[in-house]
Amino acid sequence: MKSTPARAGKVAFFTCWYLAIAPLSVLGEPAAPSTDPGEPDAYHDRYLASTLPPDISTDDSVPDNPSGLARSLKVDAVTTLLSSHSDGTSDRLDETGVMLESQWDTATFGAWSLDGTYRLQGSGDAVSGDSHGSVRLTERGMPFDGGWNADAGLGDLNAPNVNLARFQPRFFLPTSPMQGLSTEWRGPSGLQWVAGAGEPGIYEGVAVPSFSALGGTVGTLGAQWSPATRWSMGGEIATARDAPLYAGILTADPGRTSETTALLATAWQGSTARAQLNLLQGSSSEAGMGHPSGAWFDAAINQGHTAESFGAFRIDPNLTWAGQLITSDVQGGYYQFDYQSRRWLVDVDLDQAWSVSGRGLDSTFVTANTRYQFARDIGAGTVLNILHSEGPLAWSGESYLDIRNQWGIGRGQLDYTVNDADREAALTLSEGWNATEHSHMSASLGYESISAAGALTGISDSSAMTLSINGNSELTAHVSLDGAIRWDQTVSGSRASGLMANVALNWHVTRDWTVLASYYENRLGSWTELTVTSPLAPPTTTPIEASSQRAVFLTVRYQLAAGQHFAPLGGAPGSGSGRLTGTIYLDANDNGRFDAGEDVAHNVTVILDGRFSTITDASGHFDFPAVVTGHHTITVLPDNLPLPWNVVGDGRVEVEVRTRERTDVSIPAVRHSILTQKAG
Amino acid sequence: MRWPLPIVAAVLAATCSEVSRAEGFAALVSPPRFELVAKPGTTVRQVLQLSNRSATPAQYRIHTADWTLSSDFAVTFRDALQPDSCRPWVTLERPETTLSGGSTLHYRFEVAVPADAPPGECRFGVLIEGAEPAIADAAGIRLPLEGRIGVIVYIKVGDAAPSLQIFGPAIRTLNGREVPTLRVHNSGTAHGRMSGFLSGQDAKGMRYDFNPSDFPILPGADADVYLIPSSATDDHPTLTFPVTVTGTLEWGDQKTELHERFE
Repeated sequence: MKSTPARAGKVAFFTCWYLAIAPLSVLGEPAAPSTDPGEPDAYHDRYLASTLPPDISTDDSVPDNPSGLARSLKVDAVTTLLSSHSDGTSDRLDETGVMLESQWDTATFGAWSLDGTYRLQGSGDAVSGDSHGSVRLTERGMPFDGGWNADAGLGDLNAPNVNLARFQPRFFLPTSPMQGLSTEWRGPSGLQWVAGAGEPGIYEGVAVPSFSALGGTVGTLGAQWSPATRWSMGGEIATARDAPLYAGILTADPGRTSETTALLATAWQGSTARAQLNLLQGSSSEAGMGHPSGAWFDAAINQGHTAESFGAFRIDPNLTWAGQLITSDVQGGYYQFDYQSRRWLVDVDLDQAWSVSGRGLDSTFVTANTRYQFARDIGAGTVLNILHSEGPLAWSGESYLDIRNQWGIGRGQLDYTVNDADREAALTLSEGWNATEHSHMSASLGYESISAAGALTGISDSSAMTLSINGNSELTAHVSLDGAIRWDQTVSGSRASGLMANVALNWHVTRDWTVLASYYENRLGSWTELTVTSPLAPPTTTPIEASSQRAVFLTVRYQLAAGQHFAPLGGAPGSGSGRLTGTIYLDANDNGRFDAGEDVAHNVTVILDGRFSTITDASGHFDFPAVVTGHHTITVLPDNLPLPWNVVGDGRVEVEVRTRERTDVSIPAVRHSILTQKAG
Repeated sequence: MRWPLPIVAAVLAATCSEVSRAEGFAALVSPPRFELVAKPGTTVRQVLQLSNRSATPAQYRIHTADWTLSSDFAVTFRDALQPDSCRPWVTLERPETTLSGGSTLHYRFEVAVPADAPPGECRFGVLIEGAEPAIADAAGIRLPLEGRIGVIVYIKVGDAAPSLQIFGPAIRTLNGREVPTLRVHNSGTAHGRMSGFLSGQDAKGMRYDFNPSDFPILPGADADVYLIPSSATDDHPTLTFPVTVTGTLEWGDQKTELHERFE
């Protein structure tokens, strides 16, 4: 049977419906929509009252107006009221501002975005009280000939790094916030160039981030490429001049640094394994800083259900990267093993680090996580963390049992933590309740016991009960509510009771307008839990005074999206493109040129790459406004050429389209008799 | 028309996403099935989500259907009321609806179980159909499109439960590979699904985990339960028979030990 377009269309749509239920089929569910022909009369269903209004919500990802190129706008008006009380003192932070995000696609100049914030009112910044907002203009994916495309940014952004510096499993090189310029170019053979420079700074604010410049200059310049399949090599220089020196958190009076650090890296990527070697060399003008260096090697192997990664490192003290301190004064190695099957989950990490200078800490960190599924409804697991650094061994263990029951999934969990400050034991029973598709709820009840191990903290033995409840519900198609509450009640000892509550409401007023409101309250007792978090961070214990915080966040959001992503003929969205035009003429003198006085051929079908077609107009012109950059084939169908004219050869013409340029071709048709003579 | 699900699902899922992108046309229904419990004389209410994932409006018809499942897991929907159907217990929200591009309908339905309903399982499907052929404009070519999807609903009434009996090992071909298979009969009053953790080794001494296929086994029906092998390094191994499999099989609130040789 010959397939018609209509038939093909029906088959195509059926497959799409089927895709929607494909996961169900994997689970063994019968749902292929087929019916038995020749049945008796169909049954007539009963329906609810016709007055019941349809409960319809909208998806923001689909624009109201699909015409034109993709563009979007989001404006948030934000108000935050936050107050805190601690040890007899009170602080209050009020913040009101506007946040803007806008994006727009262009046909041949990439995608652009303009983002900004403006604080109408703000107080409480740690470093700068006079910051008013931030602004950033970025362009992404502007195509160029030769397979190149480029990103660029202006305003408050981060100094760029090459990809080899970005993807680090054990150490990372930070990107410095700055006010300036940045650009990234990507080309063939994995070639990548990055450059950026500006005045360093930090972002402040609670809900409305604002940029505060801190003086000095930072910059990066780097490149990487793939000299062979599976190999990448690259280098980058990061420099700082009179820039503030900090690591993540900025103090009120940071020191200043002027230094330059160079990175060399090479990586090998196989189908199941990856390895990368990194070398760092610093040079500082500061007295005593010298020329610190560093090197680290990372490797990973993935095979079936097993993944292993390991590495070794040595980084001298005082190494910085564009004004930011990185993990330094450390040498050692690590090994990680992961295995997952339907029944087992095993995750073991070993990390050994020594101080290079001898002034820092040596530490051994071991963590092991296992889970075993005994049966469909029963699983159990343990987690063990061990840290050996200065002082006695610190460790924590956790064991749990999960049981699926008639109400949902229940868990019983026992935790025990030992460090140089105290001993903590906790028993927790929790249940995740079966709920409808649009809501969930879980609750847990716990008992904690804390025993002081020494005189470091001055905390006496304590015990407490903890009750936690959290849930989510879509009240209507337009309103959803999230809530969580945790209540700690002291049973014995000096530890204070605590309460934490958080409620958030999300109301889609219309397709374009949304209101988000949340209330947060936290009353903390004079104690904080101690856990092993890093092999490089010893378990220091600092008594925390009783405190309370409460906050209200209110956001009114307007968002608009329209248009569709532009895809040139033969290319994906974002591909470089050019214009392809041409004329089909009747080459009366057979000289292969479109001469004055020669007629044109109108109403002739022209096909691009065998897929896209157009018809010549009365002037013999055809026009493909956007064709992906590169090599293309034009085919002229001779059907509507006037007799005795015909196309040359098989009517195919090869053309090269360049980015943002117009390519114009003149295609001759010749008399049939001439073709016959040439063929003879 | 009947479709053997395991094969068709893989083939069509692989081709559909391409078609869907090219024409910008898609619709989703969630969840794919309901498994509910009700006492006689009570009413259960549920909501399914129907989303028009395209940018253009679409009109849908919604109605119930009975369905049957064959031993090869092919399903047939029937519009006409079948004997012992529980569709007269069902009330749907509305017979048809129109959704604008990108919108989602929270479609409500309820099942009122009669007070004298005997223990058993009520099964029906909610069919959602394109009410009229939609027009997809792809590269200047306009195609009429139509289709439909079924959401399966199971409701256990009273103390209905599956009762599965394993009555024989077999070897079947699944996706081009021979796998050990159990022949299973359900003599209970509700559908059952086999699950469990099994392990074993083949004639070459290679050890594998085996995952029972969890296709539904309807009351009174015989069905094949495929024991799908995997190892730490290969999710799609080729077995060399004979194969020995041991472990615990579970369904509903029951379980049994398995020690079987397949050859």
